[in-house]
Amino acid sequence: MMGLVYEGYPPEMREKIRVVEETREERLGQQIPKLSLEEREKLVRKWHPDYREDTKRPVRIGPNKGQVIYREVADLLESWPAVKPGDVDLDNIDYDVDILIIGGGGAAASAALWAVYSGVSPENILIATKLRFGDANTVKAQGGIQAADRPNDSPVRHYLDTIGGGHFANKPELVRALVMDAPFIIRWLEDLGVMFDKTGEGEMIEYTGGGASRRRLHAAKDYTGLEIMRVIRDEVWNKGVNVLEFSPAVELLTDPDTGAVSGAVLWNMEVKAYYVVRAKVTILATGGFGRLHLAGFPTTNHYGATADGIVMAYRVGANLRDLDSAQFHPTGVAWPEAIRGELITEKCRSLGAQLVNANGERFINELEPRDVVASAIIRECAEGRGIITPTGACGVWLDLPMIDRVRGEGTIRRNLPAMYRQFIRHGIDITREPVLTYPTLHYQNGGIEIDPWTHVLRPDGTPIPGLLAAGEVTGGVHGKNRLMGNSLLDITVFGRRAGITAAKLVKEMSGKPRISLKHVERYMEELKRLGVPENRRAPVLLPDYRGERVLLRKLDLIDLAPI
Amino acid sequence: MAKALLYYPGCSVKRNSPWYEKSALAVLEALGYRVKELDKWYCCGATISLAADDVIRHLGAIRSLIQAEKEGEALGTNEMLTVCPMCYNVLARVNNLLKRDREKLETAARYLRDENLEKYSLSTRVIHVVQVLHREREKLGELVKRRLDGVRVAAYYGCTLVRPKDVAVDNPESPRVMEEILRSVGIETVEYPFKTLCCGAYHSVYRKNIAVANSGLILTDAAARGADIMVTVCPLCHYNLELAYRSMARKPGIRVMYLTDLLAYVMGLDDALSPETRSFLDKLREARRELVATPGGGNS
Amino acid sequence: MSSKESPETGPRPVSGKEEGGKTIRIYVMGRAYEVPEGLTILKALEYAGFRLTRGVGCRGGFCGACAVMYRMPGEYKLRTALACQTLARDGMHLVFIPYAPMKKPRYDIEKLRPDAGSVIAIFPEVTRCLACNACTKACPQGLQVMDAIQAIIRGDIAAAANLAFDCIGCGLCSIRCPAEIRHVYVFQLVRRLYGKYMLPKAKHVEERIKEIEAGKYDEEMEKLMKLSLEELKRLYMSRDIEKA
Repeated sequence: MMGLVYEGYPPEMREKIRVVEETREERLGQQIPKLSLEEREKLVRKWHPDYREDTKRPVRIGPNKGQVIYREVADLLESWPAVKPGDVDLDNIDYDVDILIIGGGGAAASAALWAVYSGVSPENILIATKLRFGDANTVKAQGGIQAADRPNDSPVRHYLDTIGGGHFANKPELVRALVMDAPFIIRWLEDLGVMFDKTGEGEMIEYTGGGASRRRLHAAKDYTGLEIMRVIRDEVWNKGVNVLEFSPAVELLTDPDTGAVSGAVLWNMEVKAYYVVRAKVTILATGGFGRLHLAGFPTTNHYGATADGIVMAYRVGANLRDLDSAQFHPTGVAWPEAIRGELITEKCRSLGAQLVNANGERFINELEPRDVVASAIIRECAEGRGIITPTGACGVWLDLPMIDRVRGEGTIRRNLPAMYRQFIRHGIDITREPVLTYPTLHYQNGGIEIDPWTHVLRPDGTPIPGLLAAGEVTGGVHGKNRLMGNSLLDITVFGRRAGITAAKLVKEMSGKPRISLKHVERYMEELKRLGVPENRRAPVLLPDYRGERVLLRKLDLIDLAPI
Repeated sequence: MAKALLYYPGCSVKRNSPWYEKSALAVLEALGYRVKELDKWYCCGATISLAADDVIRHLGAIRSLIQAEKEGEALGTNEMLTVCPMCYNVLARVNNLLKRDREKLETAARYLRDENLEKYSLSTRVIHVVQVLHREREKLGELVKRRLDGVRVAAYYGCTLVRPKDVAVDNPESPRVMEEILRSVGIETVEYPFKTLCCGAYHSVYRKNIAVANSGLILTDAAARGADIMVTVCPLCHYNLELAYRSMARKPGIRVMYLTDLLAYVMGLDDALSPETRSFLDKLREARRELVATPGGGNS
Repeated sequence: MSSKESPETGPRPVSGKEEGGKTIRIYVMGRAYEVPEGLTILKALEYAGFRLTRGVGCRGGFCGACAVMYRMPGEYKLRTALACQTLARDGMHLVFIPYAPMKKPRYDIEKLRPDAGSVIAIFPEVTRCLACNACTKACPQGLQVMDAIQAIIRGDIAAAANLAFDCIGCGLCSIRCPAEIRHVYVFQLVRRLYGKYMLPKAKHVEERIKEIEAGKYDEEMEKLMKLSLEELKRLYMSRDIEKA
């Protein structure tokens, strides 16, 4: 590595680490019992942002009017379209395809491949994505992908774990599809050449994850999501599917009479031009909302995670669910400041790393579901048992050296190369030093409601013709809380199902669909009645992290495209 | 005391000639050598690396020479063994170049310092397997378990083992080392004029006809002079000779194999032989035994 | 411009009033910007006013979008880094390398074999490796890039796949390579060949698929889906947990 390596912990933090070192011996082998459902409930209600009054409000517009959701999401739903209907010429179609896939992550790639396998010609499929193909939360998923495929495990058990972890709020049919498809997905990925961790005989090395009652996490070191993404992306390219990068969708198109979705308006962020895409079937695979920084939390999400999909789907009448809940990953980076909010994979805890407060005490079983662990960490900090960083952030220790202690020297370097690399770049050696952690906004639990074959549903349960959705943009699979390893599974299971469904719909459809922005015009009337300020527009596409000093002096004199 | 060699395998041996490696190493082991493959080694660079003024192209070779220097201390030897004549040729020439041109050595050292590689102190000696076999030929004779009486063998040298002169393992015009090795294990050799004619080398990739013509001539002439077998020590020569053989309408009655295959056979090192080579030699030996009256010839 | 200032640095810009902390000066493609100390290069650029589309992706060191090259004052060394993973330092001269030009060749993985021939047929430039090791020095992941290429040349696909596993595809090695090797795609192919053809298949996955296809879990699943919430909760809490 030719970059410079820096100093590591400042002396005042080093001092605080001594407590962790001194208590390591007595914590070895210490059992912390799991909480009962009631205890969990109490902890979560008191500390989790999902249950705080000030984080949410009822949305005042659209199909779910009155539903209480996170403020930042409500603001987006109550926004004017980014593109005004009169500004685009729908008579000139730039791309006329069978299937338009919006998004560039694992769900999009899976959908494209399974549409091809199901007989759709690759040149009649278009993937439109905001950044590069593969710039998605998928590549950041480190821990693994769940599938109940060991003899002491079963899909039924996987179902129970998932639905319990989701506080029994999951949509049962979706969970069933998730767990029953899982082993097929593993075989598919294996066959494409994903380098899963295996024994010499080919048996998958499977890890445990929070809320799972069996070891069922399949991993590719701690680059699982990256490995899956790059393999399926490679295969999409091999098949010759069209991919438009830096061209996010900014609005869906609909049949003016039936309301069926018939394509989208894309916007090339580099040259700032729009494209009209007509499609027989449109698949939303736009991912989640981390970059909205709900409740002011930092996030693990990639740069483009700005909830575009739910905004566009809501305007065509989709039912949204469970958007009152967000997953705060219990272990985000609290120090060093430079990577604050980034993820410390749950695999660390699977491997035996312990959470320790400023007094050197453990305070929660590390393998409780994510919301429970996150709540416990927030509690420790709020009640003064956290560690304050030089920049004023708070966190608790994650005692990583415990992993090598329990599982043998070299385990960390072998199983957590990405993580080791991430910290050594800042002078922190995780084989010897604990890291400071605090919850970070990680996952959009809820989203667009779909049926098991990914049709997007209206509040009355009827499907919106022509529109499918898969992955983090959807809701129902994970209820109010997602288990580790179920997101890579979600995107591949429902991405696949979306591809198959789309192919079927294309075959059934004769003639070309009609396109309009009539639904947007209707939505705008509502916005007008509501008196939404004109400058609030969505989708927002990217977060804005520019310094205040620059923004105060900003002048748009000529229209330059930055490179 | 076990004699040690630092083994530099070379890419084409690793990729295309596993049986050559096996038989060569088995023969050396039988001679009492401890052969250790370098922990790290780099493509020698093949002929591309021989433009003398282009130090970047020598880096792979230099890295391997340094690696041998590093590992040699523990093993008590400075001899780096090659089996591929191309690797031998390039590594030995780069080695000589550095010995002659200290400035070049400095330039390379400055570049490699970034990788925390020590400066090469020129101690590595590059040797080819025929040199080892030649110096051990007496002992080879003692290790013979099967005789191949009546079998006639032509040795083929090609280019890189004997040219240019400063790295030649023998007289460039008329090399004899392989014949002397063969005779030390009781094998009759055949003289023919084309033993240092080029096999066609890399022309086999784009201009097959050149390789086929050259190698075809070599095979036909040796066969006409009564050779049953042609031995080589080069994976590329081996490839071209076989290519020529396959392309010839009228097949000359001659079989191509590695020198060490033949040695392994007479030494009874059967595990180091491909099943095809072994069964060919078994059959040939039977056939010749019937033809040749060998008084008291019951060996093996 | 006063005579004391080099044309490159220009006059020191007036600091903003809002920040009290220490600032450093970085040079973005030669142009100086004053930014607070302690930010990553990426965050420093954003602070300075760049709203990026290129050169930013996952922001966590996994996607390779934010490759940069830089030099520090007084050094000849051309360093590389991921902007999201590296602190901005005073005096750093940097440029973004958001893309390495290379078209991915298409292939049918089903028709390939896990050997050097398959790789070299698609990427003939692999054999042009000069062993200069510029690739290894450029890798922000610290991978032994040259060793991986060398392993391919000698036909050791398994070694190459494992050496190149942590590649995030930033392309810096390919920018620096005198043999013009497309490392990112070479490694992608090598890993897939290894994963598909050389790692043994998981038999227990196959077994489970057969069971599911035979309908083994259907009845139990139906039953579970019909349970009342109370019964479901009871069942959930009473399930046994396998040890980690």
